[in-house]
Amino acid sequence: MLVITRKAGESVVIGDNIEISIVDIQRGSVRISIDAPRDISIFRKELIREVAQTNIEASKNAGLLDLDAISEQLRTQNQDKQV
Amino acid sequence: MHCQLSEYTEPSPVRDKTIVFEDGLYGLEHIKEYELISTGKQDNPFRWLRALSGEVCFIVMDPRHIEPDYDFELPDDAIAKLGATNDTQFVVLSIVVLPDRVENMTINLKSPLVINSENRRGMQLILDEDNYELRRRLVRG
Repeated sequence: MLVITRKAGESVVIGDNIEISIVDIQRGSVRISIDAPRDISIFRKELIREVAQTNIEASKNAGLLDLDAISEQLRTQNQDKQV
Repeated sequence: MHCQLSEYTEPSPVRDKTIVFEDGLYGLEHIKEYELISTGKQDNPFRWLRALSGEVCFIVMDPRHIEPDYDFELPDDAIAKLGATNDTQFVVLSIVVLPDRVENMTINLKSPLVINSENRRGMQLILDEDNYELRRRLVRG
């Protein structure tokens, strides 16, 4: 792993076509801008973690549920709310 | 964790052809082959997405059932990964979480599953759009 120090206004270049610039540094937060080709996905890491957690939570017990009953309950509940 | 389909699918769960998620789903990257299973009841919006290995399964539904205007642009890398052409038809599904009671059910509109209907390749996207929630409640508040 490469660890380097950069100041606001400076940047690093990764490969031929990705540039990460430090825009601003204030009170423990670093604002960066990323210039990369459209086909490169860029996500906040915690978002990926949240999606993974949601997937794992969703997979628990899903097979044991009565989908027809759930569908019916959902319909009833949403009808109640409309009245 | 093992996914055994419940007795409720009897007598005739309707199985679909295998879908291959080359990258798996987030958090479950090692599982690549899934099948879609309906309960057989026509007006049920829910289906199971089940790993062929039986290791896991999910409840999924068409997000437009909840959000009729649900729409996003498929990124170039996704089009390439799914082997899509101009004429490709996609199936879009959202994963549902049922924590304890139906009132608390949520649907993941932030990271839908997109499946190429022709070659049965699928992937899970994470959308840039801020207006689609990871946990959107299914019962109106």
